[in-house]
Amino acid sequence: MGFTRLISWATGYVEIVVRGAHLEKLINLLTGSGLFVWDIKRIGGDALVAKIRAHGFLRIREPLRRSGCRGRIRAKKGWPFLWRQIKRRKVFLLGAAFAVMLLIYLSSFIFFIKVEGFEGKDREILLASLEKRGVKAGLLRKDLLERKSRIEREIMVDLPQAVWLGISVRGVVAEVRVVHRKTAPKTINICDIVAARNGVISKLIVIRGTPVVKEGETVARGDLLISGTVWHGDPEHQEFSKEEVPANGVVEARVWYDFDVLEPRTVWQPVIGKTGREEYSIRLGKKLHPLIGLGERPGKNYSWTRWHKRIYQGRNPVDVVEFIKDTWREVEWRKVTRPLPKVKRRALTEATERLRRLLGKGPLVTKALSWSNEGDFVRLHVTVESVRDIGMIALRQIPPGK
Amino acid sequence: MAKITKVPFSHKVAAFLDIPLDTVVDWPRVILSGNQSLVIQNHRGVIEYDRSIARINTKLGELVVSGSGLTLVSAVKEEIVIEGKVERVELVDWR
Repeated sequence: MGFTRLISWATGYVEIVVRGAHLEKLINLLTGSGLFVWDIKRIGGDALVAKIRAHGFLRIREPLRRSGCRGRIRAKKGWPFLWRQIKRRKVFLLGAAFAVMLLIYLSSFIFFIKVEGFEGKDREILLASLEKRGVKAGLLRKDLLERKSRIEREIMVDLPQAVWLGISVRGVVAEVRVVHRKTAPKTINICDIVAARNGVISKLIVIRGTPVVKEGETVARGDLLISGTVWHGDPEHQEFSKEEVPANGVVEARVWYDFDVLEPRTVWQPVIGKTGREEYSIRLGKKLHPLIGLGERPGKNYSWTRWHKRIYQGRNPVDVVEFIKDTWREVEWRKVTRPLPKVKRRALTEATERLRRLLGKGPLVTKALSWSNEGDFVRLHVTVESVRDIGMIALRQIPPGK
Repeated sequence: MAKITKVPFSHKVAAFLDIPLDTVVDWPRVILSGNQSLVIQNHRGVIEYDRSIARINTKLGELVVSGSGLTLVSAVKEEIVIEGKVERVELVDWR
């Protein structure tokens, strides 16, 4: 109904007053002839008011004549009649057009600057910084949009307290969103550097703090190397002040390591036999389907090996189908006495591995090896010298509140 | 002798196919929304219209709407919409 009325307004409609004895006949004639009539109201014994589309009004003469009624237009409504009126009032039309143009022109300016994220003094600094770059009421929107990213970068330089800044334009409002930098609370970690192990100091570099040892001195584990207490003073006036700092520096020292490697000559070795069982199976997804089995599975000591072959994977999910071969073999444990060179080789391999783990990337200065026989065992004693940073941070206990 | 009423063939088909009868035959359809609006479809014209009464002719008989401030909001060939305070709806001489 609303849409029909809207069309009627757009095409124009008239409000008519009809007088006569057979008004119902007129209504039937109008509706019967396909005319759209609405808002029919009786305003008296022989009169009614109705609305009809403007082009339909020209067709009501015949129904009026046939029903013996007389009709006249009471009002003309809708866009065509309104436009006719407006056309006559040239100045009004000009004024309306001017108002629309003025509105469009004014909407191309920035009138308000909205700041989010900064309050108080920071906000004032930000506004001053924006104004310095021409961002104030009266600036052209287009001008601001063109220079936006440059202004953002420049203001970020001006405001170290801002971690992020963004300018966006919404209508005539320039919205400046800024995120305040949050600085982590300053931590006071007063510490000393102490020796992590025994050694002879070979190099001492103090970055912060007071050195307590010198190059060439021997230190034991736990000895103080660089103190976190720094004294500032004026020897002339005998005035000194103490400052507690986190000590830092590099303390390299020659250190020694020694360890033993014990290798038995007689060992138990497994000898894998030729008898056993082989089983072939296929795995589809998570299920394992046995295919064929040959031989008997050994009873007590045995070794078990699994060989599997996955088919070409392609686009299939991982491990969908694979062929599996399980082999069980009988194992016999035999006592074997290894020859001495082989035992020594094994001990050296073990010693090298332990040295690698012990020294890491540290240089190996000297190495001394000594062999001894202890019954069925061969003992290898290794002594090595290296240069290591032996400095270790020792935090001081700070009373709460200081 | 009692008169035998013949059921139209279209009614039989509609009943057989489970189709609502009003979609097949052009019976008048009356929709009353509260007591404010009345829509009459498939009418045969207005017999009488006043602010307190509207008599609408239909295929099956006369429909009388009584009330106050009645207005024919829309009047087209197939449908009449009456608005106002509807107090009574009567079916007069219906077959």
